[in-house]
Amino acid sequence: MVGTAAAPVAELRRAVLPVCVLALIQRRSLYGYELARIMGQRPELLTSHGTLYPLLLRLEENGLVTSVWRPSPAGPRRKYYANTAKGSALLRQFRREWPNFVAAVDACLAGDLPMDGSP
Amino acid sequence: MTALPPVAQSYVEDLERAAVELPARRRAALVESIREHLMEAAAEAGDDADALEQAILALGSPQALIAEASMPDQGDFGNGAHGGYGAPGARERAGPGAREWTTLALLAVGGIVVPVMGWFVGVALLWTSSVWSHRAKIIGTLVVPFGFALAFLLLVVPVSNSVSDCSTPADEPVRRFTSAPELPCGVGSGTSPVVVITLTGAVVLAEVGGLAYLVRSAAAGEGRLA
Repeated sequence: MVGTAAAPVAELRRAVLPVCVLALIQRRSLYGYELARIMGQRPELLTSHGTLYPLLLRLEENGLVTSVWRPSPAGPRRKYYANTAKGSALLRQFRREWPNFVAAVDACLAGDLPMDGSP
Repeated sequence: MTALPPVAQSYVEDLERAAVELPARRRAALVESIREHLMEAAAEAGDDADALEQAILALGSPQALIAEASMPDQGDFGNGAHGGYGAPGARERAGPGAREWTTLALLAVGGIVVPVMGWFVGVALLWTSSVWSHRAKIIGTLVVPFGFALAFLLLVVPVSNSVSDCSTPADEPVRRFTSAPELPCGVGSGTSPVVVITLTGAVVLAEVGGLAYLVRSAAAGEGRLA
């Protein structure tokens, strides 16, 4: 998919949201509602909580996360998500690449790139 | 299963209705997660109806959820964009692949190649597929049972039937039995060719439409045509 110029932030959110999920469940396994509450603190990341569930489904189908059902002290059982080895590897790779990527975009936005193309 | 408060229950029902286009497995998993989410939200809200209302609003519309769930997964590292991240689950995400095309071929002409049985094999493949939604499976089965074999029969049976002598001379008082007792006289020979051809055309059109729907829903549900 070619990113549309109309909504670059929406495109960006779609691209990074999965990594944010991987990063959060790397710290400890979380169930969906919990994850929605944590990410919901930053509306820039999660505009609607429902978006999270199709995403978790795809991550699981792609073998990046696994889930287990556990009983909850009160009420229905909960589905807890955790990273697979593949999910963790992807997260590590993204952690390495992201700072350079951000720095490059910042340089463009701030006008810090030399305009003659020389290094 | 514990009951949800009515507002939450009606959200789940809206979602179930909106999700008919999704493959059955994905639909069930999505509805189950949302139900769990709303259970938690309802428990947390307690008697506070506004809090529950807010939690439902925060989910976004069922339609937006479905759109998200049926999107291809570029961005989620599913298709080798990052090299080697897409392997598991890739098979059932590939839109119509070899298995789906085989199913479609059997539904269309299986009944002709291996009379009757071929079509049943196609139906079995259709119903065990995780690519097609429940609705698509029903359409695939009911829109023209036996596929093009039905059109074939419509054309061939009247022709062969008319070969046998059905004509009853007006002056003959007792009607003679024909040599084709399994097919009553008049279905074929008595029916005008225009009717037969129209009927056959309608069956062919319906079959083509049904197959096109299956191809489209396999492609839309899972992203791309293989």
